[in-house]
Amino acid sequence: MATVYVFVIVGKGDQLLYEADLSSAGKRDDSPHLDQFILHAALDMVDAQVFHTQQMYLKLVDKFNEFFVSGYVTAGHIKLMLLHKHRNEDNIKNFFQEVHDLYIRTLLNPFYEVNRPIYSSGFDKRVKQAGKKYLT
Amino acid sequence: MVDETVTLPQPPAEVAESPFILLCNEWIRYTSEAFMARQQQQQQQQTDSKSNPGAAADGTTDGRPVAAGAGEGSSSSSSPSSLSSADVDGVMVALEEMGFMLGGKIVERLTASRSRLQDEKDIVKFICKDLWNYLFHKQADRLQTNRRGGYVIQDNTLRWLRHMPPMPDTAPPHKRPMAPVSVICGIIRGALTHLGLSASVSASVAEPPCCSFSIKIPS
Repeated sequence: MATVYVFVIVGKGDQLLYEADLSSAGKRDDSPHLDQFILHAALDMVDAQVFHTQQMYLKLVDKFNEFFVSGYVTAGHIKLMLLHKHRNEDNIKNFFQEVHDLYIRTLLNPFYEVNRPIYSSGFDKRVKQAGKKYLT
Repeated sequence: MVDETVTLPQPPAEVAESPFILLCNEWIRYTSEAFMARQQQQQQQQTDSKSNPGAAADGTTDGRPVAAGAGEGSSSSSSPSSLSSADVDGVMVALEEMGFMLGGKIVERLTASRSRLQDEKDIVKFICKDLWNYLFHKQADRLQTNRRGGYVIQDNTLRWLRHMPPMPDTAPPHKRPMAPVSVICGIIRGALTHLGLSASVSASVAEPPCCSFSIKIPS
């Protein structure tokens, strides 16, 4: 039985920039694609919460059955969202901060335009490492 | 085209993150795109008119930056000093576009460690203080606001214009230092757009090194 963690980065205009399944090893028992539905529905909640706080880390943004969605919004309104089953605020906050750092490094690449999907395998590898470090 | 990758040693952090290096990177990206576009165009020309040797000769002057000129379409920028005014305008637009991409990226970096800004005034103040500090190691000298939703940022000793000779107000446009100023306009516009305010930015250099940037925010 795997602990489910699904991570997405959504840009301005609700464009998907990056998606990763950071669940621990094992079989997942949720229906396929349900995680994408939940994260998509949570986008509106993130946009609403953004105006209530000055912080980047918006703790718990949405809840669906037994799934929680946590959000983190950068200054340029890029949303980092994580779908999870267990609440783990500190670790999730650290994970978001580390991915934010990685995202800024992606931005430093002059061939990467803002709001485009991130295809870099180095970025992918590092996000998965961060996921292992903080989430499982 | 030879496909080679060269591994370079890591530069020290202060150099790697300096705005000048970022600008050079943007320049590389822009000229490489212009070069690829021009190559494609030449290949098309060559396949269209194989019997015309003139097309091949034109292709040898590739996208080498000519003074302030970036690889501009197929306009005849053959001699360095004879840039037509259309070329110059095209260059300014290109520089502004590079500044635009830079602005968003720089702002994302600078705001990483602080809380998000939500007020229009806070955003403009952030530009005057933090962005200016990052680019020029000092804050902007004056920020004025006019009632119709516009702001004017004034800087009396703009570092990038420090070594220009003083010039009277009546100097013709092609002698004015519009290139660095276009980049700054683009950076400001990119920063504003990235933070959520779409605006138009224009600059006026009254007398270097003193210049002012006016921001118009349509409401």
